Formats: sequence, C-alpha cells, structure tokens
Amino acid sequence: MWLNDLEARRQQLATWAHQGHLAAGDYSLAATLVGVTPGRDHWRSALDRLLLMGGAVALAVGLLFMIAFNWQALPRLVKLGLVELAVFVPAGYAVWRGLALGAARAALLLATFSVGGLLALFGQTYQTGADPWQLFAGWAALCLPWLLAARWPPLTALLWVVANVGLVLWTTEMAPDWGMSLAVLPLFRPPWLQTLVLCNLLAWLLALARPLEPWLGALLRRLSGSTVLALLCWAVMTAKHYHGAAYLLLLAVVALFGAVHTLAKRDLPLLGLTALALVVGTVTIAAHGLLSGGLNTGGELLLLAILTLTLSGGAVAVLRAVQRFWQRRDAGQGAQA
Amino acid sequence: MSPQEMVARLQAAGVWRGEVPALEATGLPTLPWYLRAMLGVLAWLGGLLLLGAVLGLWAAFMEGQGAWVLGGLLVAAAAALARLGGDRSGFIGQAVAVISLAGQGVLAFAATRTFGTKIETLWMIALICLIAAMATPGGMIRTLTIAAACGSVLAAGAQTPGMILLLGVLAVGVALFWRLEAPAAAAGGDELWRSTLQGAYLAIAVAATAWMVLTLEKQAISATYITSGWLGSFQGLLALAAAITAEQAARQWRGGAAANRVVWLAPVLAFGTTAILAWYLPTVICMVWLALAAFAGAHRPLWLLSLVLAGVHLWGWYYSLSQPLWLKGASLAAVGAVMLGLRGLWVIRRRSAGAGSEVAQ
Repeated sequence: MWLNDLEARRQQLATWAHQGHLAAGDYSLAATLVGVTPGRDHWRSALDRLLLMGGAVALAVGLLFMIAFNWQALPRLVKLGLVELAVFVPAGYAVWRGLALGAARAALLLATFSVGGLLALFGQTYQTGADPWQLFAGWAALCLPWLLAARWPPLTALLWVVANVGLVLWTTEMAPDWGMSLAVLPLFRPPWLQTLVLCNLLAWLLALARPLEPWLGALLRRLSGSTVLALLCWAVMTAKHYHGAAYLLLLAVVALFGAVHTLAKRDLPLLGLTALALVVGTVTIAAHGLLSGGLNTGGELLLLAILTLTLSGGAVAVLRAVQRFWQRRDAGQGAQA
Repeated sequence: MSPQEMVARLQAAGVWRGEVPALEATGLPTLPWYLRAMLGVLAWLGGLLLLGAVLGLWAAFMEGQGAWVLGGLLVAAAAALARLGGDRSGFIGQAVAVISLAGQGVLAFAATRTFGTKIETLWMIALICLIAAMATPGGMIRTLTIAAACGSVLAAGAQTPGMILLLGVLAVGVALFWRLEAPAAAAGGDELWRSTLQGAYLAIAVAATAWMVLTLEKQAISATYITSGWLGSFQGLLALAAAITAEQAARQWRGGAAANRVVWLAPVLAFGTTAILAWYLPTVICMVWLALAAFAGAHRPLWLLSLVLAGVHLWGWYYSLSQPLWLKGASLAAVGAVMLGLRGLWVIRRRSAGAGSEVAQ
C-alpha cells in the first residue's frame, strides 16, 4: 500500500502517535521525516518558486497596469518599443537558457502577459478597429508556439483561459443570436454558453482522438472536460423552461465522460468532477420540481438533503468500484504478461 | 511512500517506539484529496439543505421557546456524531460542522428572541459558541465556532477599548481547556493545532447563519453581523498562520521537542496576537504570510484560499481610485523586480557557495 497522499500519511502518523509508537516530543520530527510537513530542502525549493513565479507575475501584472495608464506624453514608438522590450527580452532569455529551466519558464510567462499588453497597446495607439475578441484570439495564437515548446501546464492553462475569453467575446460581439434559430439550443442562454460548451467538447474530443503528447492531451481533457461539466450545471440551474433538456444533455455528457475515462483513458480526477456535476445537476433539477410552488413546510428541503447525501455516498461507492476495477484489470494483464 | 518505508525512516532516526504493528491491517484511507474535497463540498450542500429543512419543519415550534431545545439537540447530535470516529473520507467531519453550526444558528435565533437585538445577545451567542466548541471534538468545528465567538465578541465590543485583551483572555481559556482535556493529543501535537484551526475560513458560513437568523426574525440585516463573521473568519486564517509559523520556527530553531512545547500556545496566538496583526498589517503581507504558513503546514485549502484572497485583493486594488494607475502598476512591477532580484542574488550566492566547497575539496 502506498501513501502518496499527504492526508493518508498524516492520519497514519497520528494513529501511530496515539498507539504510543511516537514519543510526545518526537511527533514534529517524525512528521518532517515522512514528508508530512516540509523540511529545510522543501522550504528552499518553495521560497525559490515563490520568489521566481511571484516576481514574474507581479512584474507582468504591473506592466499591464502601466500600459493601461495610456501615457499621453510618450511618443507612440517609444511606448510600443518599451512593451516590445518586455516581450522580446524575456522571450530571448527563455530561448537562451533553455525552456526546461524554471527561470526561463518564468520569463516566458512574463513574455506571454506582455504579448497581451502589446496587442492592446497596438490597437489603442493605431485605432485598428479590431474587436476585443480579436485581441484575445491573436494573443492565444501568437503564444501557441511557446506553449508547445515549453510543455508547461501553467502556461497552457493561462492560454486556455485567454482562448475561452476570446470565444465569449466573439459570441457576444459577432454572433449574439448564434444558434438561436436552432430549436435544439434555446436552453443555452446567453449564447456564449453554447459556444463554450461546443468548443470545449470539441477540444475534449480532439484531445482524445489526436495523438497529442501525453501531458498536453491529459491537461486539455481535464481543462475542457471540467469546463463542459461546469457550464452544463450552470445551464441546468439557469435555463428558463429548459431545465429538463439541459439536464438530459448533462446526463449524456456524464455517461460519455464516465465510459471514456473508466474504460479508455483512465482519469480519476475528471471522474470525480463528473460525479460532482451529476450530483449537483440532479439535486438542482429535483429542486426545480419540488420548489416550483414555493417552500411550504420544509419537507421539500429534507427530501433534497436526503437525495444529496444518498447521491454523495453512491458517487464514492462508484468511484471506489472503478478503482477496484482498474486494479483487477491491471492484475489480470500482469498475469497474462 | 509505503507504511513500511515510513516506519523504516522513523526507526533510522530513532523516534520509533516498540514493535512494528501489522501494517497491512491498518485500514488506511485510499480516497485522494480531490475526492475528499468533492465529498466535503457535497456534505456542506446536503448539510445546508438539512438545516433549511429542520428550520422549515420546526418553524411553528420555534415560535415558542422550542428553539432553545432544537438548537441544543442539534449541537448535542453533532457532538455525538463527532465522537463516533472512523471517518476516513472527511464526510462526517464536514457534516458535524454543518449540524453544529445549524444548532448554534438556532440557539442564536433563540437568544435573539429571548434577549432582543442588543449587546448582551451577542455576548450570549459568543458563550453558546464556546460551549459548543468545548462539547464537540473535531478540529474544524472547534475552530469555526471559536472564530464565530470571536466575531460575536468583536461585534459586541467594537467600540470598547481593550477588546484585543479580552480576546487574548478568551484564547488563553480555550487553550487551557484543550491542554487539560487531551494530554494524549500532545503526542499528535501537529494534529491538534492543525485540525483545531483549519476550519477557520469556514466562518463565512457563520455569517450566513447570522444572516438567516435575522431574516427569519424579519429584521433589517445588520452589517455588523456580516462583517463580524468575515472578520472572525480572516482572524481565524491569520490565527492558523500564526500557529503554523510558531511551530515551524520552533522546530527549525530547537527541534521537535521544543516545537511541541509551543504547540499548545497556538490558540493564544490565534485569537490574541493575530487580532492586532489583522488590524495593522497591510493585507498583502497577510496574504503572503498565509501562503507561507499554509505551505509550512502542508495545508492545501489554506494555500488555495491565500491565492484567491491575493487575487481578490489585487483586483480591488486595481479598481480603487486612491492612487493613479501608473503608480499602482509601477509599485507592483517594482515588487516583482525586487522578488526576482532577491531570487537572482540567492542563486548567485548558492552557486558561489557550491564553487567554494568544490575548491575546499
């Protein structure tokens, strides 16, 4: 049995302490020895990361604030040149030092933020007429090569957020009635909801189907999958007159994610989120039914509480069963080999 | 890391006592943290629905003095549930917190009905929270209720000089109680302070309870209630940070035994000194302290919360009109540059130290 989980180790240590295997004065030392609390090396590493990443983010956000000030006294080219320096100097440093290094990655993060600032400044200075969604789309597209080169999850997550913001802005500005003529989709209001659901579902499918690198495929599956689940729960809560349809769609996605991530691409965190979405969606749809006439005696809430607790227990039981199923399958494959 | 490996490390360091138990039979938890977090969220959802149901079903009964009975029953039920043990997933711990909070909320309602909305009622609510904390084992709910008690005390004496001193006295009393109640817990000293303080941030729920009580009472919502809940919560967070910092400092300075002698002081630090710090320290410093302390205690929820709070603070700062934007941007960029500079100096120093040791060899 492996105790990679911190809480499991902590509980094990507490059990031994209560059984008398650890002296009162030795508990803290024991906790450090088994990695429950950080030792000197962990502290060094954490402070190093805090200074590096915290410094890079503070510098980048500070630069964005300063760009937003719109310095009227400075000539255009000086302004653009300064921001371009903030893009190219860190990017050059990252390329020079190699993207596996922590400092290089922090520099790339700074450069990525600065690209957004540069595009905003360019549009503001020359009044290009570009819409805000184009800024975000251009930002994500320009930084895509860095994402692929750096292979660094935080940068991927940042650009994924930028891309999703771009999608929301595109729908709001360019296609406010997109999909509304289709009878199937009125459950998604506002329309950006359906844009995000469809695009993230597509991203999830692509991450499954395309031979992406393992780290990128897994990350994209989790990012897009969790977004789809969250948005569908939101639709179940807010869709006027279409709660049932949104819930059915949520059920279909839950079934799809459950089957795929149990049988094909094992992913316990995403299965956990799927279970959470199922419970929240089911309780919400039940609440819509029970509370449509208003709260009468409180018995409705009691039913909802029982439903929540029952589904929670069921979700844990199912997830444990999935873990056991994986163990049995691995053992069977090992025996065959 | 396997249990066998853990025992081997402890034996090698000379801190293991007695025979090694049958490790395969220890029934260790297997749920990873993210699933426990999911269960915690669902437990709170279910618990709050249960709370609403109880309040709805007993509304007629609560019109009389029945609210005292109902609140007492809920607090007692939570205390009994917490003493059952065997909670591997954390679900029961979360449910205990919700049920006990529900009981305290109903008792607060009863106190409001009995004594009216005045200062004495807030003192009564603080007393109720303290009794509930003493009665219910389980770190999270104790932290939560103590934070709520502090919120009530602060609200009651917001205009009174020396309130910090009173909080300190309160904290000393609580610390002494815990020390007397569970000498065996000294063996798990880390557990004591950690679990005792870890739920402080959930005191937001206490503010929600107060809001609900006042709504039921059909009175205007007092801003003092809400802010005191938030204040109690933030104080609890800093309390945790103070406790963790003290423990870590003692351990780095004197080793494990000295650290355990400091552990019992955690609640004192919690609700005495941090009140002062929260009052006078800039929020950014508090956030950084929270993040560091969360790392020291390997406390993921607190760490995440410190990041969220820092983000919220930054957002609010951006939109505050007290300073021009260029100054805000420049100061933030300067902080970033200083941090990067410090890190660069540190790297150079480590490299030169490494080169020095190579030359010496």
